[in-house]
Amino acid sequence: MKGFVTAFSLESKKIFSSKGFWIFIVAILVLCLMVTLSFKMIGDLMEGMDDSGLTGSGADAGQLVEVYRQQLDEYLQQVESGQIKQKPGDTTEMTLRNSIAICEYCIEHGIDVNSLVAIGSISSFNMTSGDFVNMMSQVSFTFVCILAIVISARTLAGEIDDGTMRMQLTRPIKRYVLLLAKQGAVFVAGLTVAVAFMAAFMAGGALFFEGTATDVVLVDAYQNVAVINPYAAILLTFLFFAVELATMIQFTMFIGSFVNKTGALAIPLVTYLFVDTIALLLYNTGLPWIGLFTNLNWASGLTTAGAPVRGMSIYTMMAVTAVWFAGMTAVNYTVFEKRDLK
Amino acid sequence: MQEFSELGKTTSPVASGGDVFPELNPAPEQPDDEFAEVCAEDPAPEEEEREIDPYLVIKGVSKVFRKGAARLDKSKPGIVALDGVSLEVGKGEIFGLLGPNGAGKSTLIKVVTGLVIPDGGSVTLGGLDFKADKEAFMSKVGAQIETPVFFNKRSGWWNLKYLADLQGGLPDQRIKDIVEIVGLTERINSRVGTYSMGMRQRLGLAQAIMNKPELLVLDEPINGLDPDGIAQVRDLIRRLRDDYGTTVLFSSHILNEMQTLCDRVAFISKGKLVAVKTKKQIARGLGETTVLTVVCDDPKRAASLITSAYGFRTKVQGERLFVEVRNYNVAKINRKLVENGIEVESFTVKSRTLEEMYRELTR
Ligand SMILES: Nc1ncnc2c1ncn2[C@@H]1O[C@H](COP(=O)(O)OP(=O)(O)OP(=O)(O)O)[C@@H](O)[C@H]1O
Ligand SMILES: [Mg+2]
Repeated sequence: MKGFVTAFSLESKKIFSSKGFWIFIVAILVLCLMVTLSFKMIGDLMEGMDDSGLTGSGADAGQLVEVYRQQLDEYLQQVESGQIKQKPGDTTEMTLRNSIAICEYCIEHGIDVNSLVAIGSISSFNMTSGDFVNMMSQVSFTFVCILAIVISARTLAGEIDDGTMRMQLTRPIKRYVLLLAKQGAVFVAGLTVAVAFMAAFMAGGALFFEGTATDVVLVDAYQNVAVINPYAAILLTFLFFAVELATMIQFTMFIGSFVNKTGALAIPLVTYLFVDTIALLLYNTGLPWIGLFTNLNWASGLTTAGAPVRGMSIYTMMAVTAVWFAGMTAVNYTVFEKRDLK
Repeated sequence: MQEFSELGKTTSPVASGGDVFPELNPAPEQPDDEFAEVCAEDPAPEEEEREIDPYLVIKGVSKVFRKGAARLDKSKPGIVALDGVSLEVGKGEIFGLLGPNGAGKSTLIKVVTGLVIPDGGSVTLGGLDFKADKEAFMSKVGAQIETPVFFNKRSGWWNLKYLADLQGGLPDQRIKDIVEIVGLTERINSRVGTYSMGMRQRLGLAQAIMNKPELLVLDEPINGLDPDGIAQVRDLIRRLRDDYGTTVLFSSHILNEMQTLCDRVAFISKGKLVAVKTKKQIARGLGETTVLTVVCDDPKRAASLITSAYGFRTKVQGERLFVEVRNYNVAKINRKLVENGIEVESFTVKSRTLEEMYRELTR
């Protein structure tokens, strides 16, 4: 335990005292500032246009639910008659069913459907400060994950490659404790940066934007609907981000168990940035097993479109992620424990 | 390794048994013969060296390096780096490892320091098993392995502090003293990336000894050091042993250093431990084996005379007679030949060097 605490604080010190780390943070901030300013500009240009709400139209829930029901009927008929072949990435049915469920929920609870927004989206280019915090958190979380991948690659594969790991392993500390400390330090550093960013965006939101935030509607694959406060949604996004962060750290070190420093950086980065796009293409060519690979975007399982692969829900995504995480953790610790240092 | 031994055979006269019998190139006798003899005479019972009190005990350590898929399929061949090496190092002993490049010295040292996980065998230090309790084991060990690698972008001081903290922390003053001892005080605050090779080596030594280890493991510690540095390291090792009872396990290719410094030396070749010799045995081995080259009128008769009288190995080639003399006054041999009416034209005596001994043992 003492060994872990020492190693953890040393690793954290190493991360926070590295120049590259701060350069990266500043770069993210500059980028976010630019995004903010462009949204502000677009918002000003679109002043007066009504693009608001879940649907972008002014229609109420009663009208919408009829439209969706009709569309669903038509779609199902086409499927039955064989006109449409449902591909793994075809989420039309889910989208319609979920939209109907949301409308019904709104009718039942007397909520204006256009006052709601899906998790991870903004209600309008005329952003409120809540929208801003919501959106910018998402953007910055992505970059924090990238930062964590870079640090993870450097801290394991990098230190093994350049030989500095040798000195560390000849200290009286168990290998798995050292690895745990390294992973923990990257994870905590990532969370810290994310929290700092959120605080900055809250301040920035109050500075640049006005208005209160829009409530967020959540819907799962079984048409259970919930409406939550926007800050609760940000918190939820943050929790999902924490899972994403932990998984990407584990994934980077997993790759690093088999390839050298360059591969340990490049493969996770490419995977993280492009796997969703690549997977989307593959679903539509009809490869359902791709669903086993892209399950990190849990928030998507709470939107009308649902999980990226038809038939999966946020719960299956969670289960698949858990299996991945456990598997990679087992491999990482086993490999590191048995690894021969140069 | 294979290449190394081939190289040795063709270019080095010693490796083909040539220095002993230089002209007989094809080495008519099995090459191991000589080696077996050298080893066999070791435990001369009446001259038994003092019993060592085993502190570091290495038992049957083996290691085969495998790449990729071969890691899972044990029937595929790998690089055999260690093949059942067992040795015991006594407390307070300075123990040397000698062997050609690729013999497995560094691998053995890495097994002792936990960097390489052996396929089989065990390592214990004062009864502590490495596998069972790495923390307790390594808290007694300081190590410098091959060329030390530090965080290049950080200062020497940062690196030492970092490594000290990783083993539970040391007072700044102690680290300062160590830096002083290794002679790095002036440059300790510059980035390690700007250090010369010898300075890195000194920093490596500093991190190895700063914890006052009971076992100091040094892999080629004087590689790249200037003559002053070498002398300092030698003194340091001696001082640590004399003042603190530190046990030292170290490898080097600099034979003179090994000879002056080590209480015992292990010869390793192709992953196998081929011999362990005490300082005395080495000294004796060097003094006692002498190669005598006699040019005389009847070398054949001289050879049989010598063989029957002393049992020494002889070889005849043309006019020359080569005799491998062990521990005997060569003047008496000369007299014997003359007394038996052999016309001796020339009589040359050459003692073995440690280098030759090393070559014989490790080829
Ligand atoms: N990480 C590794 N992967 C594969 N083979 C290795 C590895 N480390 C060492 N070897 C092999 O093991 C053998 C022993 O190497 P080792 O470094 O122990 O030799 P050495 O006696 O220290 O040599 P030197 O005098 O050159 O330092 C060599 O054949 C080497 O190629
Ligand atoms: Mg070596």
